[in-house]
Amino acid sequence: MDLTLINLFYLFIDSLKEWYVIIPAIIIGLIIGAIPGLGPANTLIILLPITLVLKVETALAFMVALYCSSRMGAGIPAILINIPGTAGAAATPLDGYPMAKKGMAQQALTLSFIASAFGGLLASIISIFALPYLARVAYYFHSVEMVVVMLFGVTLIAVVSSGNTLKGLIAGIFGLLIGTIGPDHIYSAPRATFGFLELFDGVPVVAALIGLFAISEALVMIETKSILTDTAKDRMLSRARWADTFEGCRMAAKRWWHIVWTSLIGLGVGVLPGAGAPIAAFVAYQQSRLFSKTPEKYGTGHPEGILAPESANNGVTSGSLIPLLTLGLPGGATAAIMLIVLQYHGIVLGPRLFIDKPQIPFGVLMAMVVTYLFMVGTILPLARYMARVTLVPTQYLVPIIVSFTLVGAFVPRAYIFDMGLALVFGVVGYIAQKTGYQTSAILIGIILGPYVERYFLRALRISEGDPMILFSSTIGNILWIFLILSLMLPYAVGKLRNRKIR
Amino acid sequence: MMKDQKKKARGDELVLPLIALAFAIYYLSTIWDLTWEAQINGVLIGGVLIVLIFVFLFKIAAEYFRGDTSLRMEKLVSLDQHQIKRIGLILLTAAYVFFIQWTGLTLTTFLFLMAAMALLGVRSRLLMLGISIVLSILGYIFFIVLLNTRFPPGPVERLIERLF
Repeated sequence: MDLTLINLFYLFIDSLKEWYVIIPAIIIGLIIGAIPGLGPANTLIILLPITLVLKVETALAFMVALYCSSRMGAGIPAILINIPGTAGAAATPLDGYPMAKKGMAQQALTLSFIASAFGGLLASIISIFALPYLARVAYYFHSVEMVVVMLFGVTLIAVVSSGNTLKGLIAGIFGLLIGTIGPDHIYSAPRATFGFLELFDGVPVVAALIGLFAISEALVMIETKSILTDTAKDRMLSRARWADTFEGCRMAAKRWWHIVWTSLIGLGVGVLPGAGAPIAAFVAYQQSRLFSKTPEKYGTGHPEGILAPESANNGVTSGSLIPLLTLGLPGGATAAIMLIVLQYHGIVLGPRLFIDKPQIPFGVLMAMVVTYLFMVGTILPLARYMARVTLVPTQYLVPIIVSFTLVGAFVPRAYIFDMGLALVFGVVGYIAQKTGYQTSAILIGIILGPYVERYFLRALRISEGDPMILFSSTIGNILWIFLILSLMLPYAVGKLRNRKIR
Repeated sequence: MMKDQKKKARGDELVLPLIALAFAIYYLSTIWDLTWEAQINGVLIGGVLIVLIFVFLFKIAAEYFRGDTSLRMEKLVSLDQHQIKRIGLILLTAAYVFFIQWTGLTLTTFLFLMAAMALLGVRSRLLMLGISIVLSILGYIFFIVLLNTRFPPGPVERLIERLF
């Protein structure tokens, strides 16, 4: 099969015919994405028997739709109640929640849905045409380059703590140190586990996320009757209106270019093995603020602060499947389950697949395109009703948040210990929130800590301990220059602006 | 005393750095005898963290000795109505985590929701009961029946298993 427009059109029609599995998968994906602790991987494992009895194209459409929609679902609680459904949505509440608190939850959700759908759609379309080239990207990124990519994410710590850099850095580096609890990446020697066997695998990110965001937020919420300010409440209490959804659409349309380039960041990061949605979202948020004309508005409910992480974490979805489709290497747990299903159906992934059954790899990406198109139609009308969650009085909301997110902490590893750990992180997060430390900086550190360590150690191991290896590759050095520029540019631009004002 | 009240209270801000400092020292103590590969990240990250914390402590100390700051803890250590509710909620959550291994997901969630709503001032007992029953049943259906998660079974789960 050649990659002609007519063939792609037929593929598109074939994918459309799978609507009867795509729509239920979107609904399931949105629900599981919105519940911290659940994710597409464990849901697909539960639904594995169903995917095995379906014909392979249908099974793939189902899995892809569930995978994509769960990414979008994770942004919903992040915006409404400051609780990201997955680590990939950890940058979304930075601006989503402040916007919801202003009574603009409907607009914030619309921004998130449009960014997710169009960011994902664009990345999928590009992936279809650039599949062979994107597959090669992974070859050029080794430990050294990956260290710098991870450091791009780490610099977000400085960005989110722009109000008080010293406190932000303490929080972020504290998080990085927590992230390195557990075995080292060479000899698996346990470090700082407090004697708990459950920490020998490292700190579970879901428990940290639930504690730092959900539990700590619940402890703060107690102080008010509603999460909304009085003006915001009045605004929300007036009937749910379509006008607010359209306003969100207008905000997104005005910033269409922002969705385009941040989704490309997502696609680029997604292609790299070992990176993922959290890295993409952090890097996109950091870069978005860097190039924004109004960086001072970030963190206060800025539309671009929602668009950037959401389009990036959806751009990742197609990118992360490319190593699977082209090389047969699953880039994550969800891709690994897809690999199992494909193998069960007798399909061998790798370069040969493009000669023997090209409709499979291109069909997967086309199913993504169709899913994102369906997602816009199914979810956008729901924004006006979802936004009403912010009106629920905190005396009901707090117990529900605590009980259901604690349950979510248990789900990934089935350790009751993780529920207790979430409570500990909740108290730490509460102390941080009340005393002006950014909980998001701690979480960024916890998520990125293991990644930074892994690639840094690999690089050092190759060079037998010589740190100069970090500056030994051309791509790496270019990335270092970009990293230094992205750190210095905000100060330079700020100084220039101050001069102009004077 | 009045003069102290007017100064900016920054005692609360020391809590997190002190926790982080204690953790960093503990972390370094656990990697003391390990190979350099296991030590290097801890030493680098922990070292930077300790330096930053000391810079922060020095900054606060300088403000304190200049008389600009007091070390009162207004935000974290107060016994107002909200703080009592907060401590109550933390204790209830700890009890939830502790008892779930014996009482199971459904019953523990039901009891927790009832107790937490009562603590936070919900007056309508009927509403409390209704919400707790509906949500704990939903929790059972979603997490145990549909997702088949491995929560330790409690009396409700065992009873349902016997009945069906």
